[in-house]
Amino acid sequence: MNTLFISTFNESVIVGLLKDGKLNLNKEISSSNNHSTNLVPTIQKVLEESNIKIKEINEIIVVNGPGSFTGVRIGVTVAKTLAYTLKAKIKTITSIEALSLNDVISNKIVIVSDRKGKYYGIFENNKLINDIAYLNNDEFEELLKKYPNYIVILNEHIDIEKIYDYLKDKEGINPHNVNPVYIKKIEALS
Amino acid sequence: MHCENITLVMEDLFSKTDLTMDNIDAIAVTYAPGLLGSLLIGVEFAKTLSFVYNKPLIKVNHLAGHIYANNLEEKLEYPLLALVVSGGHTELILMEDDYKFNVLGATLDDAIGEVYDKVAKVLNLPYPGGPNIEKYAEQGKPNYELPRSVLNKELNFSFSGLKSAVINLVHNERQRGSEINKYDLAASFQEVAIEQLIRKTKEAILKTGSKRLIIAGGVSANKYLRKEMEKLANEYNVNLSIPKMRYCTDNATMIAAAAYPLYLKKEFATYDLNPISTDKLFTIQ
Repeated sequence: MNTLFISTFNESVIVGLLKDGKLNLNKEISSSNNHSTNLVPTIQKVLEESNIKIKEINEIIVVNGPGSFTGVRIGVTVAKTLAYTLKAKIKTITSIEALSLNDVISNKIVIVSDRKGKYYGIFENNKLINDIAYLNNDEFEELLKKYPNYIVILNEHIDIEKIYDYLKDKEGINPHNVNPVYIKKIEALS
Repeated sequence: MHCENITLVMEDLFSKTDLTMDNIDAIAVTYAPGLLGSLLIGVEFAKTLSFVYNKPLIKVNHLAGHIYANNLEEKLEYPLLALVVSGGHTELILMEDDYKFNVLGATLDDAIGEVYDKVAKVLNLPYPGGPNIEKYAEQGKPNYELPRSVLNKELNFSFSGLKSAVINLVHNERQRGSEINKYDLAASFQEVAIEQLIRKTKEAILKTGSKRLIIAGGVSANKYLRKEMEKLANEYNVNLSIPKMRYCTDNATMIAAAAYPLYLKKEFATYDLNPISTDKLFTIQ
């Protein structure tokens, strides 16, 4: 089974190809404001170098936010369009859950930062216990005081195989219902 | 909301036609101008379709779509004169060939659609303002005296004097406590505004000797404009094209129409295509 992985919620465009859950090839491009230029060409390259045709993709996994609004919209639009047109299975994971898989610390706060503040998820015994939320930097400092024994995870690595395993037993979603997770209110969204 | 709806729109489209993707030769997409967040969804969607179905990708300027909406009924023949009238545009253009735009004249201040909206606002007409001016005008008489722009002999337009006159008139009447007849004022405004379009278009016909005239942009849906343009075309024996009503306002069919000459020339876009919020189809000196 061929799985295509897409992540665009931060400054990187990450595309991975897994064969039966094992990472075959992945490419990461640091492209801050240029995800639109990079995503589809990167998918094309990964497939070419893996000798896989797009129609041979059986499953899509996309990180659907929160994070960069524009980045998330690009990744989700491409992923749901691929799943819809290829009739492939599609699964989503939030950026916070994806980053939580980087370590084995059981009590932790996983964050995705932007200039003014942080999206965060609180994990107890490796389970997310809150609804992912956003606080500005001062409010986040206050929050930390309530969780003195929790470790803030700053590691931004995306481990594609761990994400695959995390989602392995989850059902696919109807591509029409795959949507960005924004959390913050979007100004001037159209 | 575009990201939420984009695949649903495709499903809806194909459920209403016998066509399948096998019948499609190319994927056309608006890449400019507009809101980046909106353009982006269309561009990424189009790239993905192009990639999955192995069909060429064609990038289209939104305004070219309005112009080529005239190519849906009858093939455009050049040279032709194009009057572009919308919320952001008022231009007279000489087209010698596909995608060759020679701007003969443009508005020096507000666009015609913009003035319609501003006048609707000052008259407190319900949304959508511009089209409602037309409805009110149909029931009124042009009894109010409003200034006609008597610019130079060039083909430029100006609507700010007319706009200010309407605003001042409404304010003065309100201060005096007398009632404005919205119907008559809408009719008076529309008569003067459209007369300027007709007059300048007539000058352009005489100057260029063009035998073909097309009207493009949202304001081309205005019935009074359509009627007056037909009179003008008859008088000067000019072949007139105005899109059907449903192709006057924004639509996807016109984008496909504008992509067709690019398809024939094999002017295809690559997957690093980025939307541009301000890209212009032509420059105005």
